[in-house]
Amino acid sequence: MRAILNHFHPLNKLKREREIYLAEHHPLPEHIKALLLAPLPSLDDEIIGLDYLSLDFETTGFDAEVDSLLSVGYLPMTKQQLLLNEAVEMLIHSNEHIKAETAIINHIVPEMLEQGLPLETVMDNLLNAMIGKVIIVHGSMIEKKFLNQYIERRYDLPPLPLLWVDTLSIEKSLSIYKGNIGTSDFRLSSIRERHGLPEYSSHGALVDALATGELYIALIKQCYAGTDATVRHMKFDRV
Amino acid sequence: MNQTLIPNIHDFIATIDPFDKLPKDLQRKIACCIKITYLAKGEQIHFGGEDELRYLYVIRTGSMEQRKLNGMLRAKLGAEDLFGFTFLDEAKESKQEDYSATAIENTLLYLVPHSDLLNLLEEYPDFAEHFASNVQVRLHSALDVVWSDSEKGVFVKKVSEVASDKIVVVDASTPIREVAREIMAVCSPTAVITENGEIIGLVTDRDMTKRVIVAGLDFNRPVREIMTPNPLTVGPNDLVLKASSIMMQNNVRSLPVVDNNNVVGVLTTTHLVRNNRIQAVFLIEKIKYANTVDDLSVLTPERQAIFEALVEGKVSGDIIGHVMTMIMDAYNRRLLQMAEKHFGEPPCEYAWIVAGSHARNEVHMLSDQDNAIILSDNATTEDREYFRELASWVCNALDACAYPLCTGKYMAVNPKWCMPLKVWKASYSKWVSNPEYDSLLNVTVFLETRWLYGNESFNAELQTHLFDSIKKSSVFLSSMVSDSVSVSPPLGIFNSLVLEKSGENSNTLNIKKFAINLLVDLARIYGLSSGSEKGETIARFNHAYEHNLLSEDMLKNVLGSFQFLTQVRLSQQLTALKEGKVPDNHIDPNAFGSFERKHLKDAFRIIADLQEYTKLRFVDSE
Repeated sequence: MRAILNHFHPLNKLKREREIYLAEHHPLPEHIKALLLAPLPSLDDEIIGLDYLSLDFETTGFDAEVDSLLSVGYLPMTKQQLLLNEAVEMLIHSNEHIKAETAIINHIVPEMLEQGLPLETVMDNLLNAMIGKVIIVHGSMIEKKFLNQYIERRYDLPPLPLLWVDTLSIEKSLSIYKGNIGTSDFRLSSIRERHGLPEYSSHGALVDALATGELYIALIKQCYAGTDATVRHMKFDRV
Repeated sequence: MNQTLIPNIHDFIATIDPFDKLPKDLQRKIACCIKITYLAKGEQIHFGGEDELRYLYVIRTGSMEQRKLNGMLRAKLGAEDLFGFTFLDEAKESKQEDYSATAIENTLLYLVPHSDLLNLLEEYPDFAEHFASNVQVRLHSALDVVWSDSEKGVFVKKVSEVASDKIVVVDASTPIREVAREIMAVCSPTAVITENGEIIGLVTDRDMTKRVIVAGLDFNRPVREIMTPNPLTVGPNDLVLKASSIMMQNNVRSLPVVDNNNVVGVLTTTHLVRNNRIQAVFLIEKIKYANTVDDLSVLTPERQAIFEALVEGKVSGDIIGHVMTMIMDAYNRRLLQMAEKHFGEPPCEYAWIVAGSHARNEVHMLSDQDNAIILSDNATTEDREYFRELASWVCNALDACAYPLCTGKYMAVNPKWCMPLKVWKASYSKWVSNPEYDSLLNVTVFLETRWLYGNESFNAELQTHLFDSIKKSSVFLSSMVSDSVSVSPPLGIFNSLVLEKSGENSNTLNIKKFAINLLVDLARIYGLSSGSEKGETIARFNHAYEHNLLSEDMLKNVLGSFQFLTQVRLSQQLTALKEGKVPDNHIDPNAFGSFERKHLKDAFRIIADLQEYTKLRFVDSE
């Protein structure tokens, strides 16, 4: 019985998707191959102890087809610890004109982007950093869409079967569980405030990635308070 | 990949002690190696096994508590507090913390890996002290940071820093005329007279005028005939405070500075004026020459100005206490002289003694008067009436000079505290053998007394009697300990959510009652049990250490705490005075920055430790 349930667990579905992906698309670029070959967590692993990568993109807009990526920030989390010495923030080189309102939100001005790295370099670094990691994002739509768009444009490949967790959807289900249906402010800073986390004044991909990572630990500890929750109970965000 | 700076983290640690003392680039390097974790309420930190990395912990938000292995509360910590210094102690055999740390709220914690920090501090050795595991080193560096040497007043300078090195040294056989020429040539007001390499006398330019010109002496006589023999001297490393008090007490205007029997300079009152913006010396001179209570009472603002200058000048608390005590002594002595003049010669011998903080040389701007009279045993009833009037006059005059009357009536004007020596002795015997609450209160005030005026031997005799009585009593010290440890320092004061004790004053802390007095009480216990003749809190602890009642480590911790608490209290008084308010002993925990908070907490913890230790030593063992 358990074996059957396990079979339908999202993790095992993901495993099969990866096998199919690897079989249908080759040769694959090295880092993508490594990403898909990296072992997935087992169902009995503790959620809190997994290896994560907390990630945030800054973009010119919400539409991956027309808008572009401005910067990428990420840092790993292992053994419940966010590691600042492995934190990375990269601006992406662009000659493109940046909309004024985007510049205001992100504090990124065209001069800064002229100093940036080529998109390919940035994404190669990111894909390497993702190997073997569960990816934490807040509101996964943007990161997923822009990543998928890039994979499609550069390699002509379909979306990668990766393991994502989303602090926004965890918070939503938590507040529904608690009966706070009325809560509608799901901005990262507002959720953090509700959980007693400090306000981070400045903005940027890396600060937001850090803010998301901290929130994730707080949410996990709240969701599974006092229990040794395992991956079997984990809420994944599907591809 | 280049390390990327996260400005929020850097900004945060840059504001908190001790990181705020570090250069920007070191702050940034430390920020870059931080690990961040989050503890849910109730979670405990595991100061784990050998393979676990060790950290210095910084609380970003939330609160935690540390408990010793026996469950006793060690400290309560809130945002911006640090812990885990013990890991940095290479000398300590076990790197395990001897306490546990538990989150009492959800807590976001920054972790600075021990190994990274050690590597960085090797690059920046000047800043290593800020991270010393040892509380005393941290307290010490705290004092140094806030009260830098360059800011300290002339009193805490060494004599060698202030004295002139222009000095005339001549043989005793030198003719007066030649000595006068040399004095003129070198521009020194003083010549030191030697014979066979030994310093035997001193001649000043005033002596030349007084003893040679006015007396019409032959200029060719040897200088030996006009010198002041056996001069007082100071060492180059003595404090100016000490030198100036020697000058005042002996009414001399210059002191040769002598190092290893070599004259290396001379200190004159002129040097003190030139270098001294704190004119305590001259206030004391003015007090000496005042003729009425009004003359004295107008000097009060000057006294306050000196106090403010000392606190602002970051002079250490014990020295401020000494200076303020010297001034109070001068007032009190002068008033007694005035009173004797007013009421006529005293009919019998007596000693005017001071008690409490005045006796301990720990006077500050809030000090009231504690004094008493010991009469000769042959004093008659009429004699006692004379002293009652004299005491009443002096106590009220002190009050007029802003030394308020003692609310507990521990004053010579109270007939209870104006008694013949034999009655004093009998009272001490009674108090020591029956240490009940009331008598304990009496005796604490009079457990430190200092002679101020009259027959000094009365006080000495009484002190000896007291020490003997205490030695014979089996219950006295342990009663004092039980009484003193019944008040605990406020370990949780800075955490509004975890305030330990509630009450009317839950928003402020009486730093005298809950911190300073606890140490003063403990010092008294140690001073009495080790037979210390000095009453100063610091001297008593030192004496106890010399008699193996305290470890060196404990001594340093305790002295560091006492000095820090005293500074905090004096600064509070200064702030109140500047704002035109009446200073009090209540401090508002919210008014402190992370720097003071951390060190206050260290100090409270040290007091709690010493109380526990003292209780074990004096009470539980019986």
